[in-house]
Amino acid sequence: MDQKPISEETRRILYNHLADTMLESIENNTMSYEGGQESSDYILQRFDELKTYPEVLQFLEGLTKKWPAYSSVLLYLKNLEQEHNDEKQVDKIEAEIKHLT
Amino acid sequence: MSDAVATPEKPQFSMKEAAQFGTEIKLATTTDEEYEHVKSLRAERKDGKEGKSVIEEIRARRREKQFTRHDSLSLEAKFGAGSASIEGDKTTLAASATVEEQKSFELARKEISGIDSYLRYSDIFLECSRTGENIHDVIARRVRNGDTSVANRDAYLDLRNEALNYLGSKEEFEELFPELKDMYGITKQEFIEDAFVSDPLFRAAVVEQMKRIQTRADSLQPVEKASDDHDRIIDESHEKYEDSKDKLIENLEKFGITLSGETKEEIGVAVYKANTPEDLLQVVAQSLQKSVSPEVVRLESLKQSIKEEEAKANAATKGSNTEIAAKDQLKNYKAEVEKMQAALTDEQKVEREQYQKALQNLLPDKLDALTTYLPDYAAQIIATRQELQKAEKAKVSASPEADAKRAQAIDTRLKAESGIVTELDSVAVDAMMKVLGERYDEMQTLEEARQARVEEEAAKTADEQSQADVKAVHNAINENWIDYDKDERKRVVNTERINHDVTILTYFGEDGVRLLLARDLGLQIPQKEKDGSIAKNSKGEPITAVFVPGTDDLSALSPEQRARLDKIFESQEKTAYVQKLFKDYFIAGKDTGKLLKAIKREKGSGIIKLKTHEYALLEKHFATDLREGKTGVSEDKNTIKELKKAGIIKGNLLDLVKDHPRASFLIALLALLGVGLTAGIAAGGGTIIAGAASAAIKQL
Repeated sequence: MDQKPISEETRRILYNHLADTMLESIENNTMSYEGGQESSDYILQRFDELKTYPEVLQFLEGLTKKWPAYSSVLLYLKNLEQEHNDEKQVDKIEAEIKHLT
Repeated sequence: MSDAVATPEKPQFSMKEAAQFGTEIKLATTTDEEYEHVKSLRAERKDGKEGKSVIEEIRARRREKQFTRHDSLSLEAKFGAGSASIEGDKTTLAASATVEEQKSFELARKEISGIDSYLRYSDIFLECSRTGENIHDVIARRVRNGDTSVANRDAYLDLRNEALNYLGSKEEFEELFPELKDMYGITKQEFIEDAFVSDPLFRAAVVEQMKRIQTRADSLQPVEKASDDHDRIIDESHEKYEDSKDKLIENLEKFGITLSGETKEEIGVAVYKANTPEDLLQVVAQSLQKSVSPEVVRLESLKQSIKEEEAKANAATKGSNTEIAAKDQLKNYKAEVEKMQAALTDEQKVEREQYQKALQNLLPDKLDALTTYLPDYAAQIIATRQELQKAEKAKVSASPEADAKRAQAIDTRLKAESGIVTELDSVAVDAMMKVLGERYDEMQTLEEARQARVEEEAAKTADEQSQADVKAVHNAINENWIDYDKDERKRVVNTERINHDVTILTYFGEDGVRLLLARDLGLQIPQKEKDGSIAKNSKGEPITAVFVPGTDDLSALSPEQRARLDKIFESQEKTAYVQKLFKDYFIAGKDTGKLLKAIKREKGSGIIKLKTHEYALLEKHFATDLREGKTGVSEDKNTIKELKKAGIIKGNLLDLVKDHPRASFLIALLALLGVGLTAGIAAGGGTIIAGAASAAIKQL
């Protein structure tokens, strides 16, 4: 995946996904409230610093290692990466991410 | 991108799958209140609340209740007058820190580290208690959730050991509970664990205090970097610089170049201007020129000129004016060289050899060879010189006034830090005091509610005298030892009365209770003359006075009085009476200034300290009242007896300290106050704290 910076809109959407995943996980008892609190801390300390897709992927890998509940966010982005490894398709990835909302 | 790649089936994004991926563990640690919070956030998300705000809100809740490892590190880094910093998972102190700064930092770090161990360890311990799970499961789940700070059983046991040793090392704890002095090793650790760690209120009090200390530490005045730092840097840099320079000169001499003192000095000054290793070597070469005679320098210069003219002549067109001019010049140079070489003295010849050798090695294309011969000195001397110049420049810009101001700021800061270290030192003890104080008030409220019900019942069924007696005992329970002055809104500790009554119970046992109750029922007994006859007033009526325990004998009571006394003694009021005396004795024996927010003492200054055999006597006389009596926490049902019967608290905690009568008595007293053993009942809505966790530890 290229080094194009992620847009602020994409960052906002990913924040929404992460929040929804966390809330649903706590409700489903697959993540403790405390786990949600700790992962929130982890996310907020790092996510705003990420500039590119590779950085986002690396971050999600770290996040998933600690809290497996976030895995599907990572898996989804990885799938998109495989599909759209052409540099020109980054906009399309963003569009698809937005489509999720 | 090919079509084949472009048109795979789009992955279905499922939040549910996302939530369930990778774990099938059902967690039970989320409270109802937390679930409600999550539900309301979900609703707000549907209404458009941003995900980031949701995440921030969840995190904010955590920070209210927690004092995290990161908080501990941040707090540690506040000490040492700004010379400490966080590096990875630890704090370090700058090498330039003074002894005072180092001392402040180390003292704070020792306390914070101990408290941090307690908080992290008790967090796991209490989770075991809440969920009823064993330590293994709790640790495994935490690791899965990403908290790897306690990765396995050994790490947990190490943390437990650190925490309990820290708490056990507090001398104030021994002052608070002198019984601890009789305990060592595992016994002491288990006592601390059962009495303090198992109490969530204790942990909450510790967190609250750490938060307060954190706020105070945040407001410490920052100390600017200034010239005394520069002085230190200058000194260090200068030393390094001189060392590098000496080694350079030393190695030049090994080169075969003998340098005079003056030349060494010149080199020292000259290298000060160099910016790169090449520059430096050039400076050395220039300086070397000054160290040899002008004839030698001129000869070597002519050699270089000859080479240049030869090159010019070769490059020019044959027969051209350029070639002719170059050859003429070459002829002149060679003639001069011949003439000068003939005129050289023997000394100049030696000097010339050395100079040639040095120049050969100092030529830029020989730099590699030179730096091999003079390993790192050239680069090192540049770096240290630059460091030195920077520090000197900074020092020049700093005024003496600023220095003095800064020194004062450091002094003020270290004093402020010292105050915070003192607070850190007493965090654990103050937390315990707070818990005891709160529990005491809670017990008293429950006791008064119980009394009201008893009196209401008595009003329906008992005669007037019995009602009055019950009321009298209640008044005694509420006012005898620690009273509450409603006008002054202070608790009044009657030290003398407590000492007296505890002594009576110690030595008279159950009869001692009768003696005290006889007094508090206001039973009047006839006074006797010295000859043993009944004393009478001028009207011939017997003189009576209120029964005095320890002086008067129960046989002095009339049958009617004895019947009233026995009735009370057989009722639950006797147990409530004894327990309240022990509670008040226990509380009054501590630092009541901290324990009870507003108190005054009257009649006597110090609470009696019983000796070991006296504790044993109390234990013997009142074991039943203490161990099986009502805790008062949630009335009749929550007794230690029932907890034991239900297998909730571990086999027999009291047996743990059977060899320590004072400790056994103490544990019973703590239980009366709802601390430790029964804390879970008060705080956890029926969840038992000590039992599950202790059982979990046993599984280790």
